[in-house]
Amino acid sequence: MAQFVLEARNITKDFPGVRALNNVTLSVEKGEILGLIGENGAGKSTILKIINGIYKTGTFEGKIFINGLEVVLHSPHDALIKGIGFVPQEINVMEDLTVAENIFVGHLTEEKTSFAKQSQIIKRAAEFLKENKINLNSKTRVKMLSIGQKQLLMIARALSWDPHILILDEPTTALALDDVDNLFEIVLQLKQNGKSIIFVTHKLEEITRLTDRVTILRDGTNIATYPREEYNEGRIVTDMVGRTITSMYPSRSVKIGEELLRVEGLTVAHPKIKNKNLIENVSFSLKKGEVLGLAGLVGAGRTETLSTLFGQYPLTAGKIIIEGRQINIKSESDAIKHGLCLVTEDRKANGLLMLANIKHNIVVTNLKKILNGFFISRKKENEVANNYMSKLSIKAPGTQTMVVNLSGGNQQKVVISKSLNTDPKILLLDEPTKGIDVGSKNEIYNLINILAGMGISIIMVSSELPELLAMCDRFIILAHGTTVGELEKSEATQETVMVKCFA
Amino acid sequence: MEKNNLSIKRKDGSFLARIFSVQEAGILVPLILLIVIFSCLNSGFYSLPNIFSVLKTLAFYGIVAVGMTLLIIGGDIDISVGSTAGFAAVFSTFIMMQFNCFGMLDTPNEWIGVFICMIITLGICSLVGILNAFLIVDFKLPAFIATIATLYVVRGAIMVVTNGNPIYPLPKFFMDDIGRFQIPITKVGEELIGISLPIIVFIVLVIVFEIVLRRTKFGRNVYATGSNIEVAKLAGINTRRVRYINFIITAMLAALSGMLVAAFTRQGYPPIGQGWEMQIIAAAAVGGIAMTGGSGSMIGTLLGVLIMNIVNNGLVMMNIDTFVQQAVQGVIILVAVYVDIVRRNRKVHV
Amino acid sequence: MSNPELTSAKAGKTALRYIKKIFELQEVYILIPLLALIGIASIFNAGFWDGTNISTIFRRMSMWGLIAVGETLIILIGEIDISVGAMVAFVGVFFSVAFAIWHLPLILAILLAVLLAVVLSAINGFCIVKLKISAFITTIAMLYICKGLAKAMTSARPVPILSEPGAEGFLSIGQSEPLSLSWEFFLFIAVIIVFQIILRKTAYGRKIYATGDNKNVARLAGIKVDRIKISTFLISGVFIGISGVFMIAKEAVGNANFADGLELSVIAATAIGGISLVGGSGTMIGTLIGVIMMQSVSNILILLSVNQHLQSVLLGIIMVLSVIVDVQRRNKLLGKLD
Repeated sequence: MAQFVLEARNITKDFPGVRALNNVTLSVEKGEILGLIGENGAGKSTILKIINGIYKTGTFEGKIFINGLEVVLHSPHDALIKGIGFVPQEINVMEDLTVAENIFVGHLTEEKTSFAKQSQIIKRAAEFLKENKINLNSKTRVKMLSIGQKQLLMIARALSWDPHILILDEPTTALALDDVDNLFEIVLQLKQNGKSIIFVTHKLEEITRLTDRVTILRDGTNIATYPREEYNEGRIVTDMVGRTITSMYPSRSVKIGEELLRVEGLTVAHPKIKNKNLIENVSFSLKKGEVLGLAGLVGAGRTETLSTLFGQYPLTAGKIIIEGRQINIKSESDAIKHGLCLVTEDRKANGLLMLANIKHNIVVTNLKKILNGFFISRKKENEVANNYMSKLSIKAPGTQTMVVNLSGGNQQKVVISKSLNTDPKILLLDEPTKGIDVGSKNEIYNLINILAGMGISIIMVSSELPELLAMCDRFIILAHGTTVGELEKSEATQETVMVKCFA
Repeated sequence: MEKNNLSIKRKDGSFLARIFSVQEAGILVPLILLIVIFSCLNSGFYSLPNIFSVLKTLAFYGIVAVGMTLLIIGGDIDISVGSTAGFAAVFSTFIMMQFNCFGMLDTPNEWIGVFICMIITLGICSLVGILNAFLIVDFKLPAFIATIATLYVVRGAIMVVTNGNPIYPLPKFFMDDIGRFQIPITKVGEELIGISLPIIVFIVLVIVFEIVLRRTKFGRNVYATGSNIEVAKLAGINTRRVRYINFIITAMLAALSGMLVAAFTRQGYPPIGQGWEMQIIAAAAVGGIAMTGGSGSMIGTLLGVLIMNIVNNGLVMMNIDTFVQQAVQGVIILVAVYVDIVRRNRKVHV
Repeated sequence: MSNPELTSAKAGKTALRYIKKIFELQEVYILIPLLALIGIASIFNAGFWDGTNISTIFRRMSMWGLIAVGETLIILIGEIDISVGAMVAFVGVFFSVAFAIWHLPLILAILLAVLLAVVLSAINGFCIVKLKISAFITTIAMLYICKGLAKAMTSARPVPILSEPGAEGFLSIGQSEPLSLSWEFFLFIAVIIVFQIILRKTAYGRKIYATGDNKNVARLAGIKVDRIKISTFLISGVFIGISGVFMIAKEAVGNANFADGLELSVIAATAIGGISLVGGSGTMIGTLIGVIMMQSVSNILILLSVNQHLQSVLLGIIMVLSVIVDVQRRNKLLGKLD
């Protein structure tokens, strides 16, 4: 077994009431990039947490071997010292410190001397970054970095421990396209330097493009591992889901009506940076019953455009015109009043009231609906909640179930229910299927089609281009905070869209 | 060189620029202004006796402020420091007199007994720090709840033990050699003016802890812990130990200051320490210590303490009601914190 | 033929269901320590169950219970106000000075005092919500501002109001004992009931819970979060004002040292009552139980002749224990978010 740089053998992990991993074996050869793919709940994050020491040895069955030797992991830091580097999905950095200080945090504990001069730290960091071809300035205060750069910083931080193996958990989620290319270069470079990598993703294109082998997990079991030569997208998806998905994206009959919304020259000043605009001169229109896709690289201003429409930023310039009348949207409640509703990207931070149950969550967006005079009518409340429970097939014992206990897909359905409860004319969807298993994704696509069929207009932002291309009738492309192009469904392909994104 | 408003500009070679960062230089200005204004409004302000008296008073707060600064940078806060100081004042003098300095009262070896009592007190008060840390770090109670509780508990304990009566008289060594210790500078009329012990202790502490903050790995760990505790933990920093140490140091410095006050006022006076937390937090806020943790320095605290006490002193000399002073301090805190927040959120040039 | 055992069992079950309906489960949990406490007290000193003693407890708790209502709202939205004690004292002092020294008419003095409380509380709200200064710092600063101003206004001496014309009617309201309770008590109970209903059954109540749970989500749901937050401070201000005036009506004198340490009792009461100190959960009934408990503890300590200073030690310990329980409970609930 000496050829494996890392092997997690026969791992079984139980939580109260559920077996998260069942006899899973994961092995990584030296100098290879292993892809790890699976739906939510498949056990990906559990096995990762075991490998990188968050679930320490003793809390699971099975053994971990590094370069053929069995290891015991007491903590994430322990795993780090033993050569397992981990870059988590969420950006987590020290904003007030410099890049150099962020990279070196924790290293000083290992060194003999108590003293650490500031200038030395900066110099060493600069050398390190240069060696690893990471394009960051070691003196910059991390607060000033973009999301992509912060992620590079987290990778640099993990690399600074010179690990045998680096685990990247969904690393491209927040990256702009040139950052993604940059990341892939770095990953390939690491492979050349003899490092091994576990690359966790749910995007098939990344598996095909980057990895040497892929391991697929489903329901806590290791389903299959394929070498590169045997890659077959259809079979991988089937393995992930356990059933053949004949049409990933359901079709619909399109009934598009008159122009409903028009924005002209939307410009919003950047709240934190002087003389810079968050979005500039964004213009487009939206018709009734249409599904409009906002395409663009990360940082192009798509989320910002949706947020602006929803009243989260004050307009520096531009007009918003709904049904022919110019309106002023100064707050979220204004936007809702005018028939707009936003489903945000991050449901845990921004989508759900975690202390509340399904019923309370859904009704909070439209309390007027359930009032009887001054007071809330329990009957009306239950009617509204049950209505959405069944319409969206939310799987739960009842509407009084606490939302913390729901799976990711069902949680997203509650978030969408909340928005639908405002009886919107225009639904703004920001990455509606992010982090959701394939089965639930399908249900959400069907839902989008149904809503569009009912005459609700939808503006959709998605980083998964295939998803966007399949679901939308028309595309607006943003770049550098402004609108640069428009494509009809017939003209839009991955290439034509991407070309405009780089305008 | 990139111009970056928020980074610390350091030109190698310039001593002054090494000590003061841009942010701290910004505090010097109001400080100098205040000194000028008060000197004008008040001829007595600029006199030597007044200056040294202000310095001595502020040193008592300053000693505690050093600990508090460390704690706040590390992401925590402790509003029970005043109670701890009072407790130390009362407890140390109590055991000094109760046991006659272990039989050494009024003997040439009295100083041994005094020091033993002081060290015991430091030890006991570190327990207060440990208790706070235990509640906040291990039980994850919000800091203000835990330390408000400690504040009342310790304050109550002081009262229970003393019943409100001060402890007097005290060993001569304590009162004279410690309380009246000073390095003489000059003589004004009949009065000997000098640098008294609290001032020396304060300055030494500021220097030592500034070095710790800037140059040692413990200092880096404190900044890291206060800036983003999750990342610090994942990087292997023992944040629990860092925070515990901060709480203990804060409690011990509060105890030290309380004992020095007792020495100076020549009695173990139970209300010692009441209201200190306010002064110290104000000084920290004015000195640019971010209340959210992760940034600040001892130099900033030094300036903040100077400003707060000069304001106090100036107001006293203008015969403004002490109570109005208290209100003024409250307003200063609000202004200082708000200014800090604005500065942090200021739009930056990229 | 109906089986008597079965019917009584059924009746018992329905009764339990009703009880559970009235209280949330968490409140039932708090009742248990309260009953245990009363049990212990009865053992140590039969005087606890004396009618006059119980009325004393009810009267005394109403003096600060009203403030606890306001504080509950503030804690529910995720903030805190530790200046309440100093504010009450200041308001009381202001009223006494306005009435007895500036010789303003009684009604005007009362209105101004309440207005002062509302303004001060509004300043807290403004600093916390609009200037985004942390609640802890803001209200600590306000505490010292109020303390200082109160002392300054009175030069640290009490201000009697007995001699003023119109004082008698005023004092009689404050000191009279309808049903051996007090007018304040009835006001307190009424306010608790009204606000319990508001919290559970109105849109405003839902908005408060949403804001305390997650203000971003609340905002995205169209709730005007800033307005909700400031409204709780204004309501709290009203209650502080009323309490302050009642306090003078009772004591017949204005004193800057009144209500010292009140914030501790108030916060402890809410913590005991199950109001999560991080916001988003808890009820007024919980606060009521917490207030009753705190006052009972205080009362028992007096009956047992415990040193007055020891009391604050005990209060501090109780508060810490309740918060620990709350934090553990919350972590367990949200621990599933892993």
